Amino acid sequence: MEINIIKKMLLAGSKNILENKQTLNDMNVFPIPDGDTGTNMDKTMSGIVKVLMEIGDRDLTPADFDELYKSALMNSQGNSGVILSQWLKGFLRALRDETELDPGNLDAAFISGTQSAYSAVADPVEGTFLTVCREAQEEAEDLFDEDTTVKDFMKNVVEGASMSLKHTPEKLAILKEYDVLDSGGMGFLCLVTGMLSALEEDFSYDFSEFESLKPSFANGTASGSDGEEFGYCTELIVKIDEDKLASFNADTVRIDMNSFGNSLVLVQDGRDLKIHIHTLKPEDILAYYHRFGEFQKLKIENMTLQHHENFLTAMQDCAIVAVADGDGIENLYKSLGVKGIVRGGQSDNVSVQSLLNACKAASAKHIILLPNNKNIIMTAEKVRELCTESVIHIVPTKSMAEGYCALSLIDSSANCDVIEKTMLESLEGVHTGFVSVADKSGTYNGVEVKAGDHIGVIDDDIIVCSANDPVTALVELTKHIPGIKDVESVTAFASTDVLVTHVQGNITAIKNSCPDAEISAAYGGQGIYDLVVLYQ
Amino acid sequence: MGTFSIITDSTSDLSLDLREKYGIDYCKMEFSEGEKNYHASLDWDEISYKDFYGSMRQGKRYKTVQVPVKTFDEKFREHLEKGNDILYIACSSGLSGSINTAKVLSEELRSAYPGRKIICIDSLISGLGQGSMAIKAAEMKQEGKSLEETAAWIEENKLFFNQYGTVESLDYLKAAGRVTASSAFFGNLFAVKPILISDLEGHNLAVKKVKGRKSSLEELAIMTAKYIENPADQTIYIGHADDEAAATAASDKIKELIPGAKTSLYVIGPIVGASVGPGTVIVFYYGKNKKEQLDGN
Repeated sequence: MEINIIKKMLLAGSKNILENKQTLNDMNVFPIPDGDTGTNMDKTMSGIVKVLMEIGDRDLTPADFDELYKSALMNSQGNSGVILSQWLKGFLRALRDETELDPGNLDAAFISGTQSAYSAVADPVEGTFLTVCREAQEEAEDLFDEDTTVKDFMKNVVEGASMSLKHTPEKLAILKEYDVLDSGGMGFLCLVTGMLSALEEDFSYDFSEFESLKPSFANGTASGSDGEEFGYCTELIVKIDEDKLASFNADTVRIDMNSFGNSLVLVQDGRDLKIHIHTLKPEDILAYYHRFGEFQKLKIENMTLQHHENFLTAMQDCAIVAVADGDGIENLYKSLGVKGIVRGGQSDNVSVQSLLNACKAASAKHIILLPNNKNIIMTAEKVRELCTESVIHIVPTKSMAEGYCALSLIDSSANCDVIEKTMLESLEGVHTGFVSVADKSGTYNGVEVKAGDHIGVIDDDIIVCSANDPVTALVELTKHIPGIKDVESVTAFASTDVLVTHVQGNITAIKNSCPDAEISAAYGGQGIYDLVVLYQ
Repeated sequence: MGTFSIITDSTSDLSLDLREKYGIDYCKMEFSEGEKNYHASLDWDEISYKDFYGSMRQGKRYKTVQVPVKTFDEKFREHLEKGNDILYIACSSGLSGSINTAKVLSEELRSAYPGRKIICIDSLISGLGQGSMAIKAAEMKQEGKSLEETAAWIEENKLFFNQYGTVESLDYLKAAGRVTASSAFFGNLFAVKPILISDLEGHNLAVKKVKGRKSSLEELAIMTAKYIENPADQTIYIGHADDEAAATAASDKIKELIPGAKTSLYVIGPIVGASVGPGTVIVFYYGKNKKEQLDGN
């Protein structure tokens, strides 16, 4: 095979990286999870494409190989881009003086690429691009015999890269944590898959597809780093119809699958086809394969849910169980590491049994219980007597605001004693204010109240003001908080979203009483009280 | 004896005054917002810091790009052409890939400029921690120390340059992928401020949570007083992302706790700023080994 085939192979590799740019960005968690692996590798390959466009149809010369590398390096961006440029350096230098491409010198070029990539990194880390490019070559070399063609060799490289990629989470802990495969390694797989496709007879290409050659270097959003897009792990076994077997081409399907998702594993054994892929649209995968035959087995799992579950079960020695009255506060508590929630509170007292069940379900050696009013503190004490599975620690929070306060400073990976101590300390000197609607008229604590008024209450029993609307009551109530001048933060949990906005619109009025405080409002969704307010 | 140039990059946050005083050059990183691209100038040539931080407060997010290979190539060649060797003091490898790019490029330049020396040092910190290392290198150069001697000293002592910082919200650092913190730091926290230090690998590490802005600024001063060494012989740099009042409050508290301390306030540059977000205050000082500070937190 003429050495000129390398032009096509590099183009096809570039194109495949470009097409998978967003997927690669989204997978990026190592070494810095800034979601730019695809962009970086694409930039590097754009350097290759520029030179290839200049070369056009003429034959490759040794000087072209030097130019290709130099341009890749000069256009490279980011860690992944630079490492790729160094792989290309080794690969291209090994081939620069060749006139023919054969499996032997191709193997030597992959070895040279691996060595060059490793030498680019001061402390090589396994489970990355480096591992995948090395193991891909090793796999292809193991399968090498006298009948091996260039195409066979590239197929084996792709197989090897694919297998190696699957094992990256075992080698690099952060990948396991985020439930992704290594993005740089995936980039290498894209490169070699593309290179293989160039060896197909019907391969053709069109330079206009290389959008990365546009002058702007605008990047995509860093959606990979917020950990939202995990998609669905989709697995199927398909029995290919007899009459469709001849037309089924696993290589073509592999290439098609690049636009459906990532982490592809595809195994064909006669009519049996097994597919594993991570995709955002499992329905497209089903439609694609249903054309070939009937499903023998289907499994679709939402990986976002799996991720959240793994995330929350990390705390085993110590778990926190809280009573919450409202969906907003429930979500907030969960985001702060609470494992078990029992709904209830002022309006709806919690039974010993339901609290005990929640503690059992949390299944930890130590359980910290956060009540949300005085009555529930007593219920919690009963639970402490009855619970045999776990040691129950009660942090006597008397309101949802105190519950938030207790959770806000802890590190949930700390041990139980530290968490309990941090919680108790953070509750010192804090006050809770409540705003609710008075159900009867009368004079309480010297304050005249009409039924239907909004009353302000401090620490659950002293009525201090009465007003026509909840936010005015809040402003009045704030004036009565002991030590209000030194309060550093006021956090209001509101029963409705509308009320959150009202509070946010009246921050200046609240600040009159506590000029240094930071005022926040959040949706709590609680019953009875319009507002539950933490002053600290 | 051939002399050497001291070069840093956009995360060193060295002002024009300091760069001129100490003869330090820097390679520009880049940042972008949508289709708009900027060079990360420490003199705010293309966007004022008020506009930059103001737009972040309005919800704009800037994406940062490490020093491009071409920028390194031009800058390094410029100094090599002058006949100087190069000491490049890079942004922490825990935050940017710039150091790696520079090392790869240095290999290329060594064959183009045989016999010439380029030493790249991973500062394992950013901001004026990295900037102070460059200043220290410049002082050593003025004392007549060689490139090798200077580089060896920095390499040996870099873990003594540290930071205590507090951010208004961890969201920026989290979105930029530039903070190490347990999940507890990532819940919906109101009025709770994380305290960040630089760890042994040069990552920003959230070490504790403090209630309230004022307390968090005091905490920076308390921790600085606890871990600083020889306060009389150094300037404590206090960077702020457009919140001078907060930086002043931290400075006042530092002076109260460390009598005779010299502090200098500056505005955090665009690359560090894009990652940490408006309102951030970071104190940089030379003190006890980072390891000791990690164990103490």
